[in-house]
Amino acid sequence: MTRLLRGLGLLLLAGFGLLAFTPLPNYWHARTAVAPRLEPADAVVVLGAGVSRHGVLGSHSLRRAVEGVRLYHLGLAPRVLLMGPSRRGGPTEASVRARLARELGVPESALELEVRGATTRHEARLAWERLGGPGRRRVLLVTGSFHMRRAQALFRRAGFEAIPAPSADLDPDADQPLARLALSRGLIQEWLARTYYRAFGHL
Amino acid sequence: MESIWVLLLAACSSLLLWLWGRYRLRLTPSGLIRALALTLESLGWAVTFYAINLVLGVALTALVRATSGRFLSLYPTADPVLFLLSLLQALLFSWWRRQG
Repeated sequence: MTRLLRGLGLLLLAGFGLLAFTPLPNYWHARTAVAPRLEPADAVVVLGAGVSRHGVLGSHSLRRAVEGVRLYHLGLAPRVLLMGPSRRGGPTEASVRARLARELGVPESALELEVRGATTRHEARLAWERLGGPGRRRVLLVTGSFHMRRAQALFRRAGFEAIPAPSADLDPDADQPLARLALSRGLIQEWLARTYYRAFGHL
Repeated sequence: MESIWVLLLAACSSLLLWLWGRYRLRLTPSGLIRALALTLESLGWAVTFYAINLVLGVALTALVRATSGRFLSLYPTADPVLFLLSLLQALLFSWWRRQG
């Protein structure tokens, strides 16, 4: 028992050292990241990432929303679908993002909101209900670089041709220990999520 | 560069601590080895408690989803603070075991 515990402790220290003080997480991210392909599409779809109860967008949510607006202004798609539910009775993430998009010059007529998506799989299904159909399959998918592989697979499964337009949620070239740990956390979390989705046949 | 700086700071203070312990407090090198082993053991407990906390978090989330029909995200279970709490649990448990 004691030897096992010491072994676990040593493993933890080694893992901490590798993830915080070596470029291992940067290589890992480079291997799993999906490169952006900015091409014309029928719509831009911006996946949810969280909003506070008081209507403050999380940093990932904000980055994704801004990326969606940028793609619209580049003329790559005529419409933007903003996603994201509310948290404990606060405003919905989609509505907060829509306000931001309007203030950044996106006309109301180009915006669509979806406030129900609780998981990536759910979001793919809801997006298909709103945007899918003959001749309306091509979407520019905006989500974090970690999340893109899983999201793209789910959107393809829902029927879309999902073109990746990842936003940089975290710095992939991080060289400070804490930033590398944050990068590692994102990678491990997404790896676990992919494993879970595969185990339950969602991917 | 920042990584090396942080490691350098920790190495310098460890050296000072070693000198202070060895020559001022007259602590023994074998005692240091035993302390290292105990530290690893505590970290092992931290990993164990973290695994327990994670499994508990996932199980409770699944239970709430199944019984209430309400969606509850798994992301809060992945909060890094849970690891710090597990580390505190491990330290407390290790000291408790030593006290008997």
